[in-house]
Amino acid sequence: MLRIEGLTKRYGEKCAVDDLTLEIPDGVICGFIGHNGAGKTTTLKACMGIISADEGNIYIDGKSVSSDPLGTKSITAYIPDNPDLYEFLSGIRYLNFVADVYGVSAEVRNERIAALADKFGLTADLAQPISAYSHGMKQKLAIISAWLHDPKLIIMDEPFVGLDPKASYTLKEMMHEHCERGGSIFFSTHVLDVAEKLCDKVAIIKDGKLVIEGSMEDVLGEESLESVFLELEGGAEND
Amino acid sequence: MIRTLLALRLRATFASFKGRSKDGKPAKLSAGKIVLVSILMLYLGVTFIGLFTLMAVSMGMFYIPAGDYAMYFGLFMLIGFSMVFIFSIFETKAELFDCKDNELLLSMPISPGNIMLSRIATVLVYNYIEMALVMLPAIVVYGFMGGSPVGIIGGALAFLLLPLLATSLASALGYAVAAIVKRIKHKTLITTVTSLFFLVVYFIFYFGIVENAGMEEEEMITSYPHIPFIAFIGKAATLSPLHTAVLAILCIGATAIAYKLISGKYISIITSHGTTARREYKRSRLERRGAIYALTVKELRRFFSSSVYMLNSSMGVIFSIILAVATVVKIGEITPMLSELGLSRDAIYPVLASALCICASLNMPSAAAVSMEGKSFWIPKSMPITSRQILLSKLLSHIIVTVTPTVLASIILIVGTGAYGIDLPFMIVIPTLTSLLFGILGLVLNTAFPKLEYDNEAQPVKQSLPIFLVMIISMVWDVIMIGIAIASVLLGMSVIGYIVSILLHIVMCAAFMAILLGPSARKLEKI
Repeated sequence: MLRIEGLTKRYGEKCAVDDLTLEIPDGVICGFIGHNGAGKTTTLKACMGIISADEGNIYIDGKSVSSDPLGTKSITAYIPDNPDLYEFLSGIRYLNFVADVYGVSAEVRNERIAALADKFGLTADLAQPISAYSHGMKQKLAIISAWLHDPKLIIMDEPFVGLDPKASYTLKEMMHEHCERGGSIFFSTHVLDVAEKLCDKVAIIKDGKLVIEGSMEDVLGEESLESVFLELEGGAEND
Repeated sequence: MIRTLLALRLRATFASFKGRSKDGKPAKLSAGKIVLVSILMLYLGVTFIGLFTLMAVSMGMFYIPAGDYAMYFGLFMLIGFSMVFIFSIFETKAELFDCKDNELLLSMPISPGNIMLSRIATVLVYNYIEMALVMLPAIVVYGFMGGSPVGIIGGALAFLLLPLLATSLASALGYAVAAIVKRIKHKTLITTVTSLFFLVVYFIFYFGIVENAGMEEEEMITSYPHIPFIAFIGKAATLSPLHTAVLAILCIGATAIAYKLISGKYISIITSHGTTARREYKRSRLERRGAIYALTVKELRRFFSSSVYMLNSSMGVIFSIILAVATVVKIGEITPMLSELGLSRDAIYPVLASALCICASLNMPSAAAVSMEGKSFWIPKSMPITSRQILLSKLLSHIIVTVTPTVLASIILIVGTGAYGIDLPFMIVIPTLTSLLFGILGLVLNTAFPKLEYDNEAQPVKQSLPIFLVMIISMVWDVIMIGIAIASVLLGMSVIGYIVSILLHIVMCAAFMAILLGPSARKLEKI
């Protein structure tokens, strides 16, 4: 589903992502882990075509992000680390806007918005302006909008931040269902317990370089994700 | 602490002109950009100072030889004060109560009073700059026309004191607006209408003074009941001990009272999120529309959701309607004036068409349209839409917002003045083309110099490089259009004048459209 080949991104003299290669097959949830400033967000944004890569190629469902950006974006959804949505729109108008841009039919959008908003308990608030939403409500709205056009690949940056326990549980269920239908998910998180339980695959990035990747079983062996991560970060010795 | 906070606020303002580098950090100001910004500021300063210098000379010729310093300075002090006061009410509200970092600063060990003081001080800096535009020409002209040193010192003292009073009153009113707006439903509408009210009051006052400059004091007193006040504050400029003391006490006292009044409620105002009624969502069927439609509607909602955006970027809409109505009302007075100049009544139409062009060129919502995406810019960037679609939807929104009232103003003029024949289509087409031209130009410039990070909306809408550039280009364009209109009327070739105007518009529109769909669209992809 997602293939990253030698991705390199520099900001001035700083190399944010250095020759990163990673593949996420269909039906797989891949957790992306790393310390602050390791290059996670840059990688996720490059996959979405929000920022351009200096070197390397990214393919989504066989299409190149750089040469066919519209083709890849139409089958992908993105949730950023901070859900800065259009605060001047109401929740329902925002969802309708997203559905229009992705060309979702009237029948499908009515059905999906109703189902997803009910799932997150957001239905009653859909007429409210987004400016009146809490961080968690905005995050829920961003999640609903991501699922609205039934993308093949969903890219999420810290999706559990701000969600209440019930919404977190709902999101995890939705992630599983999405992958059971053949879709894939690539998301970053600092919540290692969640990643360990939820992900089929894990990739750990440090200072822009991918230090380890593979199936959860292969990467962990007998250890926990936390201990593997701290070991790779050099934190275990420091502790 | 105050100095640190003030420096932070001023840095945020100047960052408006710097933009961001690729890694999101503030860009370094290149020598070229420093020169460009300096030229722009100089140009605007010279334009405004030139305007008020002309006014000072015309008033000075009457009042200074007569020794009526009090009336001369009184008028300028009142013009400066009212301009600073009215233009800073909503600036003060945005700066004091709507800044995004208010809560962040409150979480730090900084007293709310210091936060508030730093914000008021920022507005005060802007207000001194505005006051200087009015008072400096008045003082300099006064000096050149043989005014006494006492008057110069008095004028300088008034310049130092009046911004304090204007800022205090604007802060108090900004506080009242912020407190009321949090409790009402149609916030944007009420804020816009109130702002327009203040603006109309200012212009009525300003044009009244300009029209009556040179009146005898007694005559002016009967025309304007507030003239004793003008003479009173004017006497402070003559360093009359009583009047100077009263002005000083008034200005400093108002500052102290405003500080006391607002600081007591400051935290509650900036941390309250309003009490408007919650709207329950009732399911209704959603229909499918195209991407461009959705993007354009989104742009329109963005525009109409912000009074700051509407008022600062679309004053031409108001002016065009005022121009049309005023012309229709005063047409009986204008026609004899034309006859005196040996011109037929039809000579008015090319001038009116170019006047509508001037109004249309004052509309610049597109010059802030990219910046207004702000932190939500990831949304269109992550969607399957092209940069051209994004830019075209912003242009469409600009056209809808500006062309509709421009055409309405044209129709009012056509019907009200009885225009017919060849003038009729040109009076609609030329101002419409001006709206289109400045829509395209604004987008090109905003794409070249976007400002996606800001503390309040006033920064991209009022204090950004694209807005300044569009303002300056519009001034040059207006001079060209008026020049063509006057020349064509005097030469009796109004149709040629119309055609030259249209051709110029079309050539410029085509050139900027090519830039918009080419380099600008590519630049947008890289932002």
